[in-house]
Order: sequence, then C-alpha cells, then structure tokens
Amino acid sequence: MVTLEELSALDLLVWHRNGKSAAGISGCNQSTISRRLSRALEAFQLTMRRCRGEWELEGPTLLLQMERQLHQLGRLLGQEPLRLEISPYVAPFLVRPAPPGWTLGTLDHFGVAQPLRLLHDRVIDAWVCDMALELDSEELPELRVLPLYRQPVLLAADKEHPLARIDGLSLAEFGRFPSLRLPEGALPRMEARLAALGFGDVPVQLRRYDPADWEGRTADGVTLTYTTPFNRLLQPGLVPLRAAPLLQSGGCLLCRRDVADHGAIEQLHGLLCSRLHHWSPRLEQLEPI
Amino acid sequence: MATHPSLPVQLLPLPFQRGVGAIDRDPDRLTMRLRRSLPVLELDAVDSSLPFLHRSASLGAGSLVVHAAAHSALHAVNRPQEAAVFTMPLAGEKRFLLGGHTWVCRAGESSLYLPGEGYSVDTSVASGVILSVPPGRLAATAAALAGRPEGAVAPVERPVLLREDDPRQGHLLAMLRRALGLIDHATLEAGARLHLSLGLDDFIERLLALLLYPGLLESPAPAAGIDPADRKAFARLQEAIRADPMDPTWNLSAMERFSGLSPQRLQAVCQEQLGSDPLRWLRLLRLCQARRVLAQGLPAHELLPLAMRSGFTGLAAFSSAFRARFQLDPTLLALPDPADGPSA
Repeated sequence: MVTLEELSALDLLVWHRNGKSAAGISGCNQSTISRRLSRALEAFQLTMRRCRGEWELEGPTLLLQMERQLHQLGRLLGQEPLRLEISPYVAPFLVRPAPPGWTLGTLDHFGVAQPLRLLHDRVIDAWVCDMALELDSEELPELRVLPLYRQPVLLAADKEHPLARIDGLSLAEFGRFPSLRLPEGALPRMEARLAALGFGDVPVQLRRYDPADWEGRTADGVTLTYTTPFNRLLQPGLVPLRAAPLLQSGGCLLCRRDVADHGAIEQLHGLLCSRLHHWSPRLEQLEPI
Repeated sequence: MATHPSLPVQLLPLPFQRGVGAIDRDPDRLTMRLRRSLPVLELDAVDSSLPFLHRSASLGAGSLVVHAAAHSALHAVNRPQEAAVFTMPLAGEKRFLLGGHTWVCRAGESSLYLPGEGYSVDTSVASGVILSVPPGRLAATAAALAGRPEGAVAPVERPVLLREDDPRQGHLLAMLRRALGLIDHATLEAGARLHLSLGLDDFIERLLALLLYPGLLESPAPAAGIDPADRKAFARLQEAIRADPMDPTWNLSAMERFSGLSPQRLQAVCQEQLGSDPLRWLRLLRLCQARRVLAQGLPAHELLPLAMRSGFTGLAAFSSAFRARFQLDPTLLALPDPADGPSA
C-alpha cells in the first residue's frame, strides 16, 4: 500500500524531474520526498531510470496505474489541486495567474511525446499543446482534444538579419541561410515539413525549451528560426520574415477522454478561451476557435 | 461521530453517507432498500428487546450497485441470484452460512466475495459496504485486464475470503475503501451522474477483478533461485508472527534468526510470497491487529500505548498510517475516556 503522499512524491518527481521541485510543491523537504519515493517504488516493485532527461519507470505498472486513476479521481473531486502542463510559448499568456484549483508543471517541454505520456499515465490531468499539427486523434483514442486556436508558423530571424525587412521573397530564397534543426523526434511532422523545404541544417542540442538555446541562436544575425504569434510577443528581438507561412498549426487543450466531461476541465477550457480572446487583438494572425 | 445509547457500539460513519441517511427504526424499510438489488427473503432483528436501528443508502452505477448500511444485530436470508455480493465490513462481524460452510467476515480483518448462491447471515451491530455485481462482468473485466478476449476468463463461482493482512489483497482493499470514500452524500443527491461520468464504477469493478484474479498482478517473471526450504522456513515464520504480531521483539534480526534465512534470502522469499518486504508486512500485521483491538473497545487514553506497541514512535504517525490503510481515524474508533463524558 502506498499513501497519497508517497504516490505524489513519485509522480511529482516524474513530472517535475527533480526532488527539489517536488518538495516545493508538496511543502516538505527533499529528504522527505526521497523517503516517500523509495517506499512507493518498493510497494510497486518498480525502478526508475533517466532517459533523455526524463524519468522512466520499469516494472509492473498495473497497480500503479490503478492508484494513479484513484488519485486523479480524488483531484477531480477537489481533494488536491489538478495538474496542468502547458507549452512554454503560450504559458505566459494563458496561465498567468494559474487557473484556480490547478498547479502548473515545468512549462519547458519542447516536444509532444513526454506531455502525452504524462497525460496518458494520469500523472497530469490536462495539457495545453501549441503544436496541434503533431497530434493525430486517431492515434490518441483515449484522449479528448479541445481546439483553442489556429496559427501559422513563420520563418523568423534576428531583426538585424539582411533579409529581415524585404518583401516578396520566396521561401527558397531563404534557403541559403543556416536554419535551426528541431531536436530529433520532438516535433516529427514539423521536422519533416522543414526538411522538405530545405530548412534545418543547424543541429541544436535541446532537451527542454530554453530561449537562450533556441531563439538565442539567431543572435548571429544570419541563422533562421521559426515563430508563432505568441512567440513574436515573447521575443521582440525576432522578426517574422516576409514570406508565406511554413505551415499551419494550432493550439488545443488535451485531457483523458474519461475525465473530459468533468466540470473542472470544462471550466479550464472556458478560462483558457476567455484569456485567449483577451490577448487575441495583440496576436497577429492568430484565430481563436 | 453519531452515537446511540441503546447500541453497544457506536454507529460508524459510512463511506458515502456523511451527512445523509437518518437513523430508521423499521427493519422492513432496510429490507425494502436492500431488495432493490439483493434478493432478501427475510430480515429480522436478533434481539427483539432492543429497538432495531439502521441507516442505509445505495447507489447504482452501471452494472454495479453499492449499499452502505449501519444496523443493529440482524439475521437475514437471501435467495440465490445472478449477481455476486462483495461485502466489506467497516465495523462488527458477519457470519455467512452457505453450502454447509460458515464464512466469518470481520471489520479490519477480511472482506468476502459470494457468488450468486443463496445464504443466511448473522451479524453483530455492524456497518459496512455491500457491492453487488454480476460475476460474468468481473470475469470480462479480468479478461480485459489480462489482454484476453471476453469469455476467456471464467467467472468465480466460489466464496473468496480476502484478508487485510495479505499485502496484495490489503493494498487493493485499501484502494477500494478510498474509491468508495470518493462517493459522498453530494453524489447521492446528484443521482450518481458525476461518478458514472468519471468511470468510478469501472474502476471499482477492476479492483474487484484484481482481488478475485490475483494472477493479474503477478509479475510475469518467475521468482528464480528461491529454495523450497526457504519457503518452508518463511511459512513457519509467518505463523509465528501472526500468532502475536504485537510482540515487540519482532524486528528484522529476530525474523532472520527465527527463520534461519540470510537478509537477502528473507527479502527474496517475502517478496515472492507476499509481494512485500518483511518489515512492511510486519507493520501491516500490526496495523490490522490494532484495528481489531480498537474494534473490541479501547479507551482513548490507551491509543498512544497501542500506537507504540504497533511499532510507531507516536500517535500522529500511527494515526496517519491507520487512516491510509483503513480510511478511518483511530480516535473515532476509541471509546471516550470516562473523564471526557458529561458531568452528572
């Protein structure tokens, strides 16, 4: 048997990746998290290992998943705060302040695989994804996808880039400049689209989103990156290049289908929509749904 | 907590009955409520010289029906039916007679699964939860959990006694109590729609399936390298500890000495047999024993000594572990100290 605190220690560590953050959320010290974690792992006969910067569990997980479902039901019934992860590009607009009754995640996921896993395993209750392009609802039958907005993805560069203010260029004309390559497998559809257009020749070692390691790479005045309406507000040093969009994507709220009709999810969806409408006049080319 | 002077023990709050379910004196009303899902042939108070008191509530969710009831001592006879009955006492004792065999189910000690056979039952003053669900439904759930086609798993058609002091079963029973604890009186008023939409009925059915089909939880990898002699030694050790789990001399060293097993072999055989490590299992036994002691009536001032005997350093740690296991605060089970009563 594990207590609520022991399972929380395990899941908060998986979600937030380190004991310090887990301890901060739980209101205890790191050694307490460590003790609780040991007991949870022992009770479920699991081991943990790091894989590409994320914790993975090894061992039989049926009982763990049952416990997680029970904990999620408890959270939905108000026993503890619900857990929300959100893309770093939209977090400053949609979850400041945090929605009432929700606790926030690391806000630094670059790709979709890890948030999807957290959602599937009921470690988190909802996730706001800003790359809906990467989600195939047929491959995610257990998830409900609630669309929030549509947005284009544009080429962008430092405002001092030689082509920054030139109109009427085709995408092909930017091909002679270096452009950032997405971390392998993080956003596979966008990666394929960029590759097809001839972009993505500058490899970037990036496990978690950090503007210094991504947009910061354009400070040389020549390297190209990609931007969205949200990112344009966050990175005033970047300018979108005056060419056709690279692709159309969008943002959405995801949760497990079996909890999607719960009032807490509906309220979160409503709050996100209302905050989106508040910001939309300043978000060029973004279309709230 | 609600008390009544004519009852020898306190009526316990029920998992989803907080704030609802007024005390009723008519046994026929309890019979009628139970008959909504159980084929109760007769139900009588055991002691007609005392008023028969009961509180009850029920909730239908999908194919599952959940009854919670607290009542005076009673005798009841049920006809055979299609649905199986799973009874989980929270206070008191129930003796079921079926097929010429008696099954005793005690709070904090055991819960009982009965297939659809007819039976008679005698209870003490008791409270608890009864779940009614078709055995075929549980078999289908088990098949789904095992990734096998529907119909590949046979329904369980014999009584199964589930023990709190078995680590695997105890864990699932604790989860079941917590799941039932999520059903509160607001849900009853809302007609259960909320919990149906959250799939709580499905969750409870899966827990019941895991209890009845323990193979679903077993690790696919067989335990290698465990000597049959180690298993025998561990069986003797289990017997000795179960005889007196509160004996303060039981610790890891004592367990190793008694069994003659090295620390590694003791860990391995305990893990294989009980899915737990020895000290965790000892703590579970002591908590179950403490639950029994409390059910027999323990004054509140003896709670701390009980906590110490159970291997805890203080009342707070004991209460926390007790609540986690039984979803009950041990102080609610303790009898009020005489000095705490109203003065004359």
